Amino acid sequence: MTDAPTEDTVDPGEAMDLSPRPARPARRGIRRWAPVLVVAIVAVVIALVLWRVLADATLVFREVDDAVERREELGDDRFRMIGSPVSGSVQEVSLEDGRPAVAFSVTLDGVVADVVHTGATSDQFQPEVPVVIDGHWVRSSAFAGAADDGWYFASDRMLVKHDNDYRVENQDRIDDAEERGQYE
Amino acid sequence: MTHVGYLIAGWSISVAAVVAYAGWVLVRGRSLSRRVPENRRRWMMPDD
Amino acid sequence: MTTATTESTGSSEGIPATTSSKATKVLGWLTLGGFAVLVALAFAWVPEDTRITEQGDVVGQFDAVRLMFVHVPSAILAYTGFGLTFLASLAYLRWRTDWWDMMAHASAEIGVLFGVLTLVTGSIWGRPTWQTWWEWGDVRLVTTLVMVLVFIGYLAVRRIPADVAVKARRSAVIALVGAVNIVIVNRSVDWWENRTLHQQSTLIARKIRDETLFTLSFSFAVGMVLFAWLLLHRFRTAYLQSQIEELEVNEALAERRAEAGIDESPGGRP
Repeated sequence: MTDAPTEDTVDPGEAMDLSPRPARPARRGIRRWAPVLVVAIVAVVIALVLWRVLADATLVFREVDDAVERREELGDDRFRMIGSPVSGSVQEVSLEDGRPAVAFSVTLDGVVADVVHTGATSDQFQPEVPVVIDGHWVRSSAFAGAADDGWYFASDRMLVKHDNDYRVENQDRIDDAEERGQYE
Repeated sequence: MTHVGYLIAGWSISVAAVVAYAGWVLVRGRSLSRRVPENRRRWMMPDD
Repeated sequence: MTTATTESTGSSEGIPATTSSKATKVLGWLTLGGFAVLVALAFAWVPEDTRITEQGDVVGQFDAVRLMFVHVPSAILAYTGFGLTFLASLAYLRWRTDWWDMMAHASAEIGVLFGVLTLVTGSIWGRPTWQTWWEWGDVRLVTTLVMVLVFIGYLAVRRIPADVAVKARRSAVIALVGAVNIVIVNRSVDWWENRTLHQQSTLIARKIRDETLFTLSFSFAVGMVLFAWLLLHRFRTAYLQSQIEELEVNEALAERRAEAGIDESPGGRP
């Protein structure tokens, strides 16, 4: 560090005093480290999210035909199945232990499977609107539906996969249905 | 009308978030503008 | 931070201290007017989403479809913000001017705003439609979350104390890497059809009624005007901030020169 120049000692050739001056008070504490902390948290959260998604094979939706074909292989494994509820197949049933359930059949590409669902059903649980149901196969004919093949899929969670069709067809029939109170 | 609660929540959260952000940007812009000479912020010049 | 005083400041000469201009005023009024029309279209003109199946069952989203007019434009604006950040970052790395760095910063911030809104409004729509607020098995949800997190990280990196050029270069690289995810988010419903509850593109498939299509298109237009308005204001705010920093440096230099007895006036001592 050099001494600060005085009026008498200033050399015009090197007039600027470049010696360090007292710095402004540095940003201290949380303000200084907050951005680094946020970056670290974001990195950890991204890693956790990717690990959560990539490590969980049960998050993949198996189509009905695939799930039926691999029934023996899947055994009691929990997985997700996607298919469209068959119109007219939905009925309320009671399990052996008295719990209420909804029995229905789902179909995709012509393959049908029977389902017994014990969880909540969506407002959008409608015929022909695909559902993703979370559960496992059970070898039993107790709830034979449209498939009636000695198996049913015991599910306890249902999600609805809305399709990409926003067209209206048969508006007159919709109006009729509305008048009949089929929906509000 | 169905799903009224969801509609109110979705629309009002969107509007509130955009208004809050826009308000923050405008207030900050005014505050910073006062500290900058006019010749360095030309977007409000008469010929703009 | 000290006030820059080496040049005239304030609005005493009639130039308002604001980031507004004639252009932003026009855009602002267009946004407000457009939004009022959008609300009217969305709630009074577009019919609820209903279809009747071959078996005679009435199905659809019913009035929940009206959430699409905030959710879908939010997603489009998030893509726009992050896409613009990508382009501006690319331009910065090519030309190294502050203008592109400020543009990248401004558009990333707006992108994060609309990215968060996309997730929130999507969650609100998902509860009545899918029966869940959040679904880890939905690849579009997860990739959108990652995209927003990456750009939140981008904004945080910009606040880490560093030399201006270092900060700009560092954040530009993050933006380029993060932008890869934009394509993944957009294409995810086609690439992983069995890992998403999202429908495939309705618009490309043209499976949409005219009123809904018109209102959705209108919401995109209003959203774009809003985006332009926000971007202009936010960019000018960033510009003002850079001007203040530059003025402060100039002021500090002037003080040091004065201390050293250097006369900067024309003809003065060097």
